[in-house]
Amino acid sequence: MLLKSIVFFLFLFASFAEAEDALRVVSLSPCLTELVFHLGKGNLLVGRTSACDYPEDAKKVEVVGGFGKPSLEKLLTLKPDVVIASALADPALVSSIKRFGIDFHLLPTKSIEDYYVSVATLGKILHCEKKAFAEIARVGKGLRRFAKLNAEKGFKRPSVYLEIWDRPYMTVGKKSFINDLITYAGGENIAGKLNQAYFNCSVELIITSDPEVIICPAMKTGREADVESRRGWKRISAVREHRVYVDLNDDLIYRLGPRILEGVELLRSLIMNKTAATPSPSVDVENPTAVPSAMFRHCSNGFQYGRETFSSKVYLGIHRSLQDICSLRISDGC
Amino acid sequence: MVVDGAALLFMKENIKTYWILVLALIALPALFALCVSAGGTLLNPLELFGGESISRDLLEQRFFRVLTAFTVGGALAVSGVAYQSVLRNPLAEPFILGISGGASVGAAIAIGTGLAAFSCAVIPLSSFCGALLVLTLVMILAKGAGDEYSTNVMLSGVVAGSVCSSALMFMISVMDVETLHSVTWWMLGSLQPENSELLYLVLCLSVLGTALLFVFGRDADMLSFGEETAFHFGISPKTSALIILGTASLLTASAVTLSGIIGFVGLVVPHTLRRFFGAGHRRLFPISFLAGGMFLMLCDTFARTALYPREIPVGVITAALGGPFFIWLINRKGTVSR
Repeated sequence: MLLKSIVFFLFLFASFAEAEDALRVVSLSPCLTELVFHLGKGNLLVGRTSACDYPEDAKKVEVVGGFGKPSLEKLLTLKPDVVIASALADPALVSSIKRFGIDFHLLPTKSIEDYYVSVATLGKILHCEKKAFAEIARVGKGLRRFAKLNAEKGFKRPSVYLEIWDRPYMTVGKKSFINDLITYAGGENIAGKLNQAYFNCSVELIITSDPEVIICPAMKTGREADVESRRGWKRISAVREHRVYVDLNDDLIYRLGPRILEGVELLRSLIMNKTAATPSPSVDVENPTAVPSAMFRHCSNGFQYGRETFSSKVYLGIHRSLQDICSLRISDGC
Repeated sequence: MVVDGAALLFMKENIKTYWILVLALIALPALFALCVSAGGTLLNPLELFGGESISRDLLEQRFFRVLTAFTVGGALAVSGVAYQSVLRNPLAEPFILGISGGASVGAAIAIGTGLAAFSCAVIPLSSFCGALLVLTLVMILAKGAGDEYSTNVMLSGVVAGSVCSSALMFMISVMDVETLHSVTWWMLGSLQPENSELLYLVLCLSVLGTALLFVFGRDADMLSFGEETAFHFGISPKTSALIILGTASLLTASAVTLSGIIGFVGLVVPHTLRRFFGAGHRRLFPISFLAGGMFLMLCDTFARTALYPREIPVGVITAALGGPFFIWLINRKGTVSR
């Protein structure tokens, strides 16, 4: 009898310890939810936002609130070990979450480089550094392919106006990763020189910049005509040549997640619709001369970027991918 | 303010109405040309009549934007004058009374339910219903307050305004993304011209409304002395008040349809004008229309040029000017009307 109960308690303890072992993760951002599933750790996810709708399996996870604005009570009832977010509606929430002993990570999404940092950080948190490394290599390789195409001789970048919102007009500037996506896709963002992320832009900027392509990802089908009939827009090249594109799968463009290569491909197919450039693999990218390795600091257990530390191997992956970006920037003359 | 207004009415009665003509024929076209020529780059407004060119496109675009600003500013200022006279409260203004809020909720419901797709008259109509509903509600809430009526109207207006903005927030939080975008700008206010049919409709309504109020100008004068006095002067206070308030709400609703909520225009403009032209409403209504339009034209020109190529919401500019003015008005009221 005694033996039986001891065995029972041991068994109970063991199963408890096993349950303890599985990390409980809540994602407060659709792009991070996609990334967690992409890294094969979707089973660890116990909470998501109502905006997290990809992949299909993500919809089975419980909802803790809207994008960046979770209900704290709902969050706590799920007993997460880790909460990851890319933006928060209320920054004060961070201290509330941390007060309950939950590990909180706010991952950056300002530029395409930030994606590597997100992947590496998640790889570390979710113990899948190998997969993270492979993902960084995959995206880096994909972007390098686009950079190669753009670096061809005689290639001229068509100017692009990307409309986030139509009333008032809102577009992206230099500080948004979407500007990077347009650049990789072979376009030149008309607001790309402005030191802004997302901003209300003057209609005069759009008319005087004379974009060759207009992209309105969130606008519904059939509204191209509305755009073309806007007052004073009839002389814009994109309107004259009917190169206004609406109703795209905007999740590919607006989410800095594992589908960004598809996003760049989508943008490229629109931008290159007419001036199609044929890929020629013989052209090589110039060698990078400067790499922002200064972004990383060497520390006792690897490399540090901001407050995150990475193992040397992951660092090398990021470093390689950053080299790719630098080579793009250099060959672009940026 | 009642005493102040009456004193001004008699003091400045001699000011000739030709000031209206001066405003309408010289100052307005000059300012209009100035606002059209200002922008990202300074352009010659006469190029608008020239051949096809980028400058012509820009000027055409600016022309309609300035016309929108003029229409909205005029309508808001005139309705401000009307509310102030009938409600006998110097702080009455479509934005503060919650009428703009009611109009925007009406419009948002039309957009949210998809009714707006049927005809371009649906949004103005539903925002007019919203405005009337809030006005009625405010009047009923303030009823039975006796001597405190004037204050209570304002307080219920403020309450109605915040209830309307929470209703908008609620709709934003439950609607899908595409619809949400078209409702959010309603709260910010924007003079970006969208639909020229709507602009012409609202311009006609504003001019007709101002004309109707001009006809009822004497009644407005009498009503601002109090309903009993008005009755003894020989007018029917209930009927006149209803007509004036109804017209003012129609003006507000049509302005909101075109531009979303823009505050304080109906406060700054009428009070400034009273100092120069007296409180006689037959003069005040047309002048307010012209001056209100000019005021918003200037504010909007500043909003779109100051940080070019970024744009500041025009409501920010009017609130920055109107807020301090409002405070000054409250303090002044205590000393003058005693």
